[in-house]
Amino acid sequence: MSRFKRVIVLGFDGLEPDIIERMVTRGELPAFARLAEQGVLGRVATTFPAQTPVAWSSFATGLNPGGHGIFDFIARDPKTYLPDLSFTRYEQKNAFTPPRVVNRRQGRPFWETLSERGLHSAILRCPCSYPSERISGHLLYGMGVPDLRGSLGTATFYSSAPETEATEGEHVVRLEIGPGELIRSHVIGPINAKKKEDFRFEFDLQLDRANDRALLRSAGAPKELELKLGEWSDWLKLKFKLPMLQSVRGMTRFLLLRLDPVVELFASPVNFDPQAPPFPIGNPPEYPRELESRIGTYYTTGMVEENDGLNHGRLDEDEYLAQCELVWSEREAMLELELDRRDDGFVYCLFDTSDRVQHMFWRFTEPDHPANGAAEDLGRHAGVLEDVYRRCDAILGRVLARCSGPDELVITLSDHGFTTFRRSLNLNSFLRDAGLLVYRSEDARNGADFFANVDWERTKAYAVGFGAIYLNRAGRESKGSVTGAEAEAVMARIEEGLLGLADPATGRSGVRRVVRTDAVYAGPCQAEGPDLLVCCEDGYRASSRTALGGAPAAVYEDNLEKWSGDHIVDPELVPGFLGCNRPLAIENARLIDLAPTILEAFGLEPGAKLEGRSLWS
Amino acid sequence: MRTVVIEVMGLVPELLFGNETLGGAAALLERAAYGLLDEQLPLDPWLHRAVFRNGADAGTLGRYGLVDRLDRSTTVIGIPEAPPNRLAEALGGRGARTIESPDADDARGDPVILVAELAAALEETKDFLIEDRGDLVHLRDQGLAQLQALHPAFMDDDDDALAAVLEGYAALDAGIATLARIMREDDRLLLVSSTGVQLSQGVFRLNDWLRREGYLVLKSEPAVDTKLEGAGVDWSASRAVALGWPDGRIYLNVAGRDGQGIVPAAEAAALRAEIAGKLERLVDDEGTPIQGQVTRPEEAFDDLAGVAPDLLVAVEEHSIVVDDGIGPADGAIFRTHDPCLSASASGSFLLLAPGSILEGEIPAARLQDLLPTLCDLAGVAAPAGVSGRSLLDGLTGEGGRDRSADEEAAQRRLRGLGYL
Repeated sequence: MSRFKRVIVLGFDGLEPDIIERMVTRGELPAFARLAEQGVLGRVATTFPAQTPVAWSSFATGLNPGGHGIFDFIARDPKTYLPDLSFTRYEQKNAFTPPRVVNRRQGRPFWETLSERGLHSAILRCPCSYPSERISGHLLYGMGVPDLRGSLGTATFYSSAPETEATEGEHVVRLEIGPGELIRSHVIGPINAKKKEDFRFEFDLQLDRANDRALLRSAGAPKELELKLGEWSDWLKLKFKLPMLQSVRGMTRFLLLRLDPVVELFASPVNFDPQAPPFPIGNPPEYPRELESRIGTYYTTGMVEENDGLNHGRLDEDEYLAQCELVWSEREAMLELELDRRDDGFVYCLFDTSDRVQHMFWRFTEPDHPANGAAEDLGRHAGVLEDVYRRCDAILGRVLARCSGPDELVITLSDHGFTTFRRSLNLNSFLRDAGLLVYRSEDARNGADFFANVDWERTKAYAVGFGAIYLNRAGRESKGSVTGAEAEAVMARIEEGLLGLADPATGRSGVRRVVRTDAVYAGPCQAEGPDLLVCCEDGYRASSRTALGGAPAAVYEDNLEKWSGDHIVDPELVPGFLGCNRPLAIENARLIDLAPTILEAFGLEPGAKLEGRSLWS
Repeated sequence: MRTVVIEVMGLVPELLFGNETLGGAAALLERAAYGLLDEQLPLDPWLHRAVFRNGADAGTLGRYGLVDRLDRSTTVIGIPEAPPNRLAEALGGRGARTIESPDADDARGDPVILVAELAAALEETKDFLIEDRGDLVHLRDQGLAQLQALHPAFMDDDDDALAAVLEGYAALDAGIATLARIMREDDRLLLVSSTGVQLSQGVFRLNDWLRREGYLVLKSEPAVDTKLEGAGVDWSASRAVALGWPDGRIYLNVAGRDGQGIVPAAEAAALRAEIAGKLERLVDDEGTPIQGQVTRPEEAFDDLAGVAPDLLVAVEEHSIVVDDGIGPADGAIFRTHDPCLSASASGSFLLLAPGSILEGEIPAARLQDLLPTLCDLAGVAAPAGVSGRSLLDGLTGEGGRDRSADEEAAQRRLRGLGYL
């Protein structure tokens, strides 16, 4: 095998190999087709479960989830049973110190090994790299970077309509139009825990209806920001004054949605300002600043696309896509910069807009999807899904063209594939009906989220996240009762129950397999993971209520959300794609095989700690 | 049963409790009660001293600033007599000792002496305990504030300035750790700072603004900047005047209430609302809102004794502070200056009371609550006139984490995860 001077990995989150193959056959993806001709294009097995943070953590560390400890977007604390975000932990020493964010991913990303050998890496937006270890090179953190409220992203909808009410996951601010078409309002900032209110950043909005615009004046930068009707504005940089930290800087951008008859405005979540983030968002810490000076201001939160805005109907499809366009462009600019910076070392860049757009636009390819309204014109957006693939192909094409040297290796892959999401499965409702999840009273049976009113002493199993089931184990959970001897019987009962759990809509179970995690996980973190993984059939997914510990009345429900495609089904059904400009032996390739393959491409021994095998043989 | 009080001006609690290189005070957090203090208006550390020592806020004391109106005759402005020190009265028992740091005039301006004086004062406090000289030792330090004022760039994370300021924090940290170690089981230690510090870079000239808006009229044009008391206010034409720094107090000139009042009593409420509204909407010379915070005293104070102001005005959000000077009519209302430190609302406290149920973070504690709390812990009656309440009131000692707060935090962190 030859030794390469430079290795480039392009991650396209969630690209589905079936769709790639179909479009390649139709001649619509020339760059992917070129890979198939010159090198290789095929599939890569994803992780159990098929979720972004789990999968990219396995890619980075070369370990199964039992080794890196990320088992799902959502994990639970065995002491309190409370579901929480799995990949970061918040630590606050005391009331006088700001909270710190700790990365829960264990293991070592392979770029640390590269650093030790003096090789430079540029890692752009790899999930769960936040906050990250120091490496030789440049890191910009991705999924895991919160907004200024500590959430993955909370946007604000402003309206002058009196009856506007907030749905979960957004802020709503009422606009009062004052004399002279002037509106005083504010950006919602971090939470003032002491006063149980929000820090605010005030602004004045001068309406200019004659010219389809408004001017936003504030103490931020720029002092006057033009908001054109129907266009995403430039960034507004702003500063919130806090009691202890003096102040914290953030930034947001606006979309002026309507001027008549009501005024409506949308503001993105307040992102960290790369000039002065409250926690580092890259490595070295000054890198995010340099990046801004080179490519302009960019989104810094881990989840960038305005999914909630579209899902709640605050934004329409075109407005959502216009924002995605900004993300595609800035991500490509970052990649270009790092490819220009030097001609050796390792470059990784993740494009994850591909995943988000598929989640939101899948329904347009399926007229009978339950989320489609009867009168809706689906045709207008039917092509959006495939446009994503064309967009990825164009990026890949440009990279292949500029990185065509004999010592340049280009690998591209997705972390998982994609499929439809039509039916929601309430796993906690199933466990309740089976008598395994017990509530304190009959009234509380239709359980609220966060396991409200669960009688833990009598509970045997509970579901958290998107398919994970935990036994209420004695010695592990604080009120655990299931002994080692009893565990197998409980698991068998759950497996049998789920496989026979007929969906009234089809007469068949939405569960394809129930996997014992000791069959798929091994490593130091194994004990923190779930006991069972529920692997759904195509079209089914564990419900969002399940993920947060809720148990609605019905076990199966239609998915009526615009979030209409998904990938958290049986991992066998949603492998990612894998392509390379050199022939690699990718038959039966797994995500954990990429780390040893890339190390070997640089002529380095993968070492015994990596679980995968090199694909060069 | 002895009480140790360490009163520090302008403490930045993050530097004392969050600095990796220190650890003495931070280690106490595990067995102490602590927290941020509620905003105490006006932002005047000298007035706060009286609030703390009397367990009563400014309104209850009827004292609203170092320089204050002495009565309603409108012309009498001065430095009133200091309120009594009830701390010694209530807790002094077998004897009380007050230690000032720095106690030498030449310390001002010399960082080395300031730090040494603080260390010496802490040493003297320790000796008081070891030799058991009485029941109350009260160290009052201004040295740390002076040290910080010499190096204001520490607020901007300037490394050299921060290192210089941290010398003072190291001395304080070591002293507190020593005191905690030699304290007896029934002793109590209170560290309190009634304000934090902020970097201010400009002033809002409140009296000049009142004049521009026609609320304040002078008998003659001042040639240079002056103070209200020397400016020659034309009381027969003035409807409002202001006092105070770094936040301001506005006094309306109300007929029948004030000696030379001209605003009909029936119109006072409307005038107050008008001025408050203008201040809340005020923009600076570049058109930027100054985010003025206007507080009505009846909302801020437990009582309204003495000559209470009609409005309290702060502009803390904008790196500018209120200034009550008066200058020539063509002078700027907003003025910038080199960054300097002024008081901010972030007061904080730490109370170590071994054997008491008072532990952990205490939300919503007020400066005036500390004296009644110390009395409660000492088992003595709180002195007359106290408006604060003991922080022990309503405590059951059960503690425990609040599940709903944890749920809320988890929910917030997950917000924006489209899968939900």
